[in-house]
Parts: sequence; structure tokens; C-alpha cells
Amino acid sequence: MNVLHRGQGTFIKIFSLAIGLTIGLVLIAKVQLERNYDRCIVDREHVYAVSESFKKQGQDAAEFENTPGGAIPALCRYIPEIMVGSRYTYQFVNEKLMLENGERFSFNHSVFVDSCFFDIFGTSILQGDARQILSTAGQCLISRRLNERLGGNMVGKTFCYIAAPDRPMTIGGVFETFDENSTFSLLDIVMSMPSIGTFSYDGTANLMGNDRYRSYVRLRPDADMAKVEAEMNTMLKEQIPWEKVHAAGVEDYRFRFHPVSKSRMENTTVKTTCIILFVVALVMLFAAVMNYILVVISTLVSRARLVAIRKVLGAPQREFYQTTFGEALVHLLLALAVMALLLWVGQDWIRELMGASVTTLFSRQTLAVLLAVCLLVLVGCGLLPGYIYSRVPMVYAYRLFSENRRVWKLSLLAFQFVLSTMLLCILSTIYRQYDYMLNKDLGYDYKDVAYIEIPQQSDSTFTLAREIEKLSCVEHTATCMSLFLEKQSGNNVMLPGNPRQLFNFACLYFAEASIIPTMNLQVTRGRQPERLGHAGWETEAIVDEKFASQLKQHTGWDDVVGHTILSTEFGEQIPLTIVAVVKDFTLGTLAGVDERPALFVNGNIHAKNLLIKLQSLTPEHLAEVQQLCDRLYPDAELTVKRYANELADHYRDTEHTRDLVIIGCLAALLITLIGLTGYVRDEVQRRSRELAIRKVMGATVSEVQALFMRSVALVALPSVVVGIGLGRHLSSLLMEQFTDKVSLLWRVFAIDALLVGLIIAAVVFLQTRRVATSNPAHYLKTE
Amino acid sequence: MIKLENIEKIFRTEEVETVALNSVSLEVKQGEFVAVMGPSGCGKSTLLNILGLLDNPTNGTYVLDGENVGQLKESQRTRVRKGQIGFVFQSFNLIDELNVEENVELPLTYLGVPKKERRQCVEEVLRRMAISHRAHHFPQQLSGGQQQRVAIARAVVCRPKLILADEPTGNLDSKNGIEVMQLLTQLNADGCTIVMVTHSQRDAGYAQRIVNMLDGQIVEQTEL
Repeated sequence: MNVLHRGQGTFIKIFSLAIGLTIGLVLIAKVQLERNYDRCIVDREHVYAVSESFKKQGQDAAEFENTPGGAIPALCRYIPEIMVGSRYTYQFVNEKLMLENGERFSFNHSVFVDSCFFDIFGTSILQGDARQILSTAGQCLISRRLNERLGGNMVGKTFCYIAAPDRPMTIGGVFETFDENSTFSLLDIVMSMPSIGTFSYDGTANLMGNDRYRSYVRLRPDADMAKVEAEMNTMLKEQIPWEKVHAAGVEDYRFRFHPVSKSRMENTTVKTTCIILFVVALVMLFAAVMNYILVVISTLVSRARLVAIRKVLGAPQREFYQTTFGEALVHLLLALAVMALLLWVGQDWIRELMGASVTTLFSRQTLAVLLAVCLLVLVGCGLLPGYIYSRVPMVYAYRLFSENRRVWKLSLLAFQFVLSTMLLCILSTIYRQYDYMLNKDLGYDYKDVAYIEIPQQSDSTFTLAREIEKLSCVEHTATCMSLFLEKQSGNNVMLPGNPRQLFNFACLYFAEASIIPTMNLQVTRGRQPERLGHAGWETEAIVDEKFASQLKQHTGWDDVVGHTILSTEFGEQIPLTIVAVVKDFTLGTLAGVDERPALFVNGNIHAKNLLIKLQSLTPEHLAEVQQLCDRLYPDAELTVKRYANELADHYRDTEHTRDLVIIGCLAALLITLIGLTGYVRDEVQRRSRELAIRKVMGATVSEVQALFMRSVALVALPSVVVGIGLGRHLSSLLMEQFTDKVSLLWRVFAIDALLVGLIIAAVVFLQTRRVATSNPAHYLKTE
Repeated sequence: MIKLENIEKIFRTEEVETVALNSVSLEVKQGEFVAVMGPSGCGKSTLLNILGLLDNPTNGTYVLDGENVGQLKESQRTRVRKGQIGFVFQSFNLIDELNVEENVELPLTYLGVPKKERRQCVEEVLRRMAISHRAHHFPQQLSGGQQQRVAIARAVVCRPKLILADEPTGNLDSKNGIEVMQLLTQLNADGCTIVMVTHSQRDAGYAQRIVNMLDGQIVEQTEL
């Protein structure tokens, strides 16, 4: 066995295997985690997520993950095949709570759930009777994580949310913190569903509207889905208020069951990301194994004599396989050791990038797959070299091994060129998309905008806004219920005296009129309404051009300004007069654009956010505003944030995918270049005599280098073309998850190809430079 | 044609300094046939490398055909060497991947001679060397004598003024050795200057002058 001997490229082999394994296994582990997502669900094969589906006249059917609160109770009543059904709905995310002693603690997620929640989403109940607690208003369970953070032994104690200080909750029990690879990994507080009315509108019995609930059912193992469907139809027929449904222009309304075992991978974003990660992982592993084999073939010259001598002495073929497999195993183990070191060093970074810790990535859920991958790598690294060694003719025991095996080497190189180009193409697409998302004109200007989340809806927000506006660094302020980048509720438009619902729009509810200059919205028709000088609201509606255009289609109004409309949520008693039309702006983010028309009402009530337009968004100006907030409301713990950062947070997944592909691309390029360097060095060594002869015969330095350039270019050019094709295909697949996306330009891929070509040329140039400029007599003499 | 004055060649490594040529002065006239003899390691091949512009001397002056070429850069040496100097080696140094015709054609390719003209020149020289029937064979399909004839054909194909031969018969049997020496003599008779390194007294007998070297110095010159 020749494991760590010099001249066998051992370091290169282990290094490239370690890089390939680290990236490849981490990515495969991530994909495997996605496949195993929500393993906490009990009897997963029979659990279904319930979605809401409706079809409007002349439109395709639309489907939403959320349902109204009454869906699960109604479905359970009508469908005996349902063993258990449960709902949950988020109430607070990343906020703070206060204990009776006044101590404040942050927590992650807080939800309302039904009493049988833990029958579906399984985790150990460490303290308390979950069913009983979740059936009682004002009771909750907390996670072990939060229990420890609060000091332990919290059962029986009460707390209140900072955002709702007058509504105490009693801790009735403790549940084991959910697995990291689950929907509820950040769940800290599980409140009983009967408590919901204390905090917000209680729509738990609604079968229309207030669709904020995620609903799940477990069916009997022998459930006949056709029967379930028929029973659901009966329920829909008898329970749904069809008059209201039809009045809203909806033709068909129903619920759909999606098996949770598949639903995660059916999500386009998850599916596409998994495909990309899997491809990058395969590329990395493939490149590493290819490189290993390439190095083995390249170093064959120095080993062929030993192999031939062993053959002459009667060594059977299997001995060479044993040797190569033994070496590959040792190299693989060393590479895994290096990988472990890399994982340890980069664990925080990996967690941030992959959304899972190293221990979760390499846990029981993924270990079998990862071991199988390692086994495949071992076979790849042991089998082919064994075959090659077993084919070395015995005659090389007596003379110099000169077979070049160029077909093998060039084939392996070609693979690596294809993979590198492909990754670079994907990288350039992701990079452009991310850049586009961050820099695209959203129809409003957030460059110098900061904002404060107001934890408690109160009139003090109005006062705070006025105080902040007095600062010299502040140009405008505006309170609003929701930020443009958030998901918006929906409402339908009606006309006074006519119950027909015209169209659905994104309702931003209340925002101060000063939001127009604050976000630099462009008023195209009407007048900019005045901001109210007191806490309250006016029946003045500001709509976007899409809204005006749709209204015109339904009413024929050339100018919607001055007209009065009704909305389903505000009701008939509150007619809204359109006072201004603003140029269309992007609602949501470019990762998921809300295409609906938009409307908001001039007012400062129910404000959850305070937008601040600064002269310039400098740390000094932010600090000035922060100091004022701290001085005015020292207990409110207000934080001044950059709007741009919030927007960037919404693109974090894209950023992570980009970063992963960057790493994959650089690593694949590195491995490829190591392989290319090895190939060229080997070729230079093998052809040194020929090169010397050519030089003696008059070849110039550039002519000698051109010889290598030509032979590599013959492989690189077609490989790069294939790489572009594959890269473009995968890029288009990746772009499917974005509603607003960059176009795939051939010229960009051509630049990628050129870049790969230049890197290859540079490596060949540098590697051949020495032999091309050295004294040819030296090489002739060594022969 | 060749004038060397006080040529020195010193090979230096981190620990050792080896003087390969020590104050060598030599003059070779146009059309002369000079044999360089001496024991192994005396500097014969180093001298030949410097004469062939494969290497630069550490010190001293080398004038080739009126041009001082002692300290030229790599690219300049290649330019001067091209077409002016032909090389014949003991181990033939043919390129295995190229056939006879392509091997002989190689110097013309690097001189930029048009293809048609190249073919004509190659055919002519192969005929002269009586090896045309092997034009499409590869080196490994030829005998040692035939390979050396191909090597000589390659050395003379661009009609160089100077041929440098490094033990041209060292790998040949006596019959083939004699044939090769006769070819070189013929080339010299046609006006080509030849400097040949050899261990063979018999081969040296074909030259007009024998230069004897010892320990990097010329110790004796004998006119024949």
C-alpha cells in the first residue's frame, strides 16, 4: 500500500476529497433534512394539511395554505374518517414577555392551538396535561427552551406579552422544544385556542373570511379518499354561506387535503432549492472523485514499474484492487477527518447558511444517506484505479512507462470543465437575481427610510411620530399598519347600494397621508390628502393605478378620484372616498410579489409601524432617533431599523442559495484547477523530451505553450459549451421560484464561459511557462 | 564562423559550484569539420550546448557568424538558432508521435516555410539520406541507423550553416556508424560546418581538426 508516499499526489487527493466531501455531504444532508422535514408529525403518512381553494369567474382556481377557523370543526363533524383535526395560528413572533416580577424576556414564536395539537405534532409533554391546558382560556404551555430561559419551574406562574400587558397568561405545562428540522423549531409558547378572543377577533367558527388558521387532519389508515371527498362536499353544501360566496364572485369554494409527507417537497421554492443543492453536491462529489482518479492516473508513470514487477512475481488482479481500495479508504478517512475539522471551524457559518446546525445536518435523519454517499465515493476512488493498475503490462517492469492515458485524463478533465462552467452559470444567474431584487425600483424609495415596530397599539405612536419629526435629520414620518413588504390582508370592493363584490384588493388599512412623501410615492391623480392633526382616521382612500384601472373596468369611471366605494371589511356604514391615485408600487417582495391592487385609508389608528424618512440614513441619524425613542419611552424598548435591511431579510434564502453556489462554484473550480494543474504538469513531464526537441528545432516559447493550449482547448471548448447548456437549464429551473426575475441572457453565459476559458488558459500558461523557457538540453540529457 | 573567447560555464546549486567550462577559446572556420574529444564530464556537451545556443555561457564572448550571441535572451537565441544550426544527437531525439516526414518537417514549420515548399524540401532531403521509403513510418518502426539518418535529415533540411553533432554514432553499430559518418562528411563537403563531440577515435578521424578537452579546458588541438 502506498498511502502517504511522496510523488503520489496524496495531499492533493485528500485535500480535494475533503473539500468535495465537506460541501457535498453538507448539501446532501440539507436536502435529506428537507425530505425529512416535520418528522415530528405523528403517523405522518396519514396526516394531511388542509388548504382552501376557490375559483372566481373567468379565473383559474387559487389555493391558499390558510383556512378559516371553522373549517376543521366542520370537517371533523362531517367526515368520520378524520381521527383527529387541529389548527394553529400565529399571534406573536420574536417579541417579549414580562413576568409578574417585571422581568422581561424575549421569545420566538407564540401560537394559538387546539387541544389535540400535540396529538398531531408530537413532542414530549414534560409537565402538565396538554389537552386540559389547551382547552382552558388563559392557559398555555411553554417550550423547555423558554422554561430554562425564564429560570425553570415556571408551571403555575403567569406572564403577559409586552404588546398586550393587560392580558395575562398562565403557564400550565412545559413541552419538549421541537426538533430543529420542523415547522415548530422556534415555537416557544402554545396558547389554548379559547384564549384567542382575548387577543384578537375570534374567528374560530367562521367558514368564510378570517382565514388565518393552518389546519391539519389525520385520517384513518384505511380511509377511502373518494368517500372523504363526498363527505366534504356534503359539508360544503350544507355549511358554506354560498350566497356570500357567490356575491364575492366566487364560483367554487372547497378544501383540499395534501399529504404532509409530500407537501414540503411540493413547495416550488423548497423543491427548486433542493434540486440546485443536490446538483451542486453531486458536482462537488463528482469533481472530487474525478480529481482523485485523475491524480492516480497522472502519477501512474512513477508507479507502473512497481505494479509491473508485482505482476511479474505473480500478484493476482485482486491484489491491485485491494491496494487501491485500501488506499482509497485511508484517503477517505483522512479526508473525513479534515472535513470534521472544517465543519467544526465553520459551524456558525454553516448554521447561518443552511438554517440547520452541524449536529442536525449530521444526525440520525441523514446519517444513512451520508454513509451511502461515502461508500459510493470509496467505490469511485478504489475501483477505477484498481482497474487501471491491473491493466499495466508486465513489460513495464523493464522499461519506462510511457502510456499517456490521455483519453482517460481528458475525459475526467472534460467532466470537471463542464461542472465548473455549469456552476458558474448558475452562480451568475443567482447573483444577478439577488442584485436585481435588492436594487429594482419598487415604485417607492426606501433608501433613507428607517422604521420602528410599535409593539403596543396606542395613541402614543402619534405623539412619538410628531416628536421624531422635530429632529433636524428627519424629513417625514408616517405611521402605518403594515409595511409594503409584508403580506397584506385582502378585501373586496363594492359600490354603495350594490351588494356585488367587484374585485379583491390588498388592504393596507390605515396609513398616515404623509406616507406618500415618506416613501416617495407618486400621486398621479387627485390630491395628496392632509395628514390628520389628531389620533384618528378619515374616510379618505388612497389607491394605486391598478386599483383605479380595475375600478374603471367595472364602473366605467374615467377618473376614480372623488368617487365613493365600500369594502367588505369596513362595511356599508363606512363609505370611503377616493382622494388620490398613486403610481403602482410593489407590494410584498420580489421573492413573492402581491399583484393585487392596493388601497389604504388616511389615518393613524392601529399603527404597528412608524416610518421615518431621514435626510440620509447614516448611523449618526439612526442613533439620534434611537436616543429620542429611548428618552421618550424608556420601557417600550423601541428599535430603529433600516427598511433596506428588512427587505434584504426577505431575500435571505436567495442570498443563502447564492452563497452556497458561490462556495460550490469556487470549490469546484479549485478542484478542477488542481486537476488541470496535475494534468498539465504530468503532460509537461511526459512530453518534456518532445518539447526540448521542438525547442531545439526552433519552436519559440509561445509555440511550445500553444501546443498545450491546443490540446486543453480541444477538451475545454466543447465542455464549456455543454456546461453553459446545463447551467442555463438549471438556472431557468431556479428562476421558476421568483415571480419577478432577471432574464437569462446568453451573453452573460458567454462571459461565464470566457471566464472559465481564461482561468484554464492562465493555469496552462503558468504550468508550461517553466518548461517552455528552460534549457532544452537539460531535458534531452535526462533522457 | 565561430569564435569563442574565454568562455566559462559555471553551474551553481545552493551548496555546490561546478565549473563546466573554464576559459575556453576556440575558433571554427566556415566549412570546417571539428571533432571535440575528451573523457566524460570534461565539458564537451556543455560546449556544444553553448555553441548551439541552447544555453548561455556564464562569462566570455561567443561570436557566431559575426554576431555576438553570448548573452542573448531565450527568444533571441531561438531566432538566431532557427535555420542556422542543425542538431544531431546520440539518442536521435525523434518525436515518437510524429512520422519520419513530420519529424523532418519540424524545423521548417517553425521557420514558417509554406506547406508545399516544406513537402518538397522534406522529399528532397529524405531522398538524399536514402530514407524516402520510410517517410510514413514512425521512429519506433525504424532501426537505429535509419533513425539517425532521419535525425540528420531533420538537421539539414533547412540548410543550416552549422551542424552540431553530439556523439552521432554512439547508439549505432559499426556499419550504421560508418554510414552516418559518411553522410556527415558528405554534408561537410557540400559546405556545411560541423562540430562533432565524440568518444570514438575512428569517428574523429573523419574531421579536419580534433580538439581535446579535459576538466573544462581545451588542452590540445590537432590538425588532421
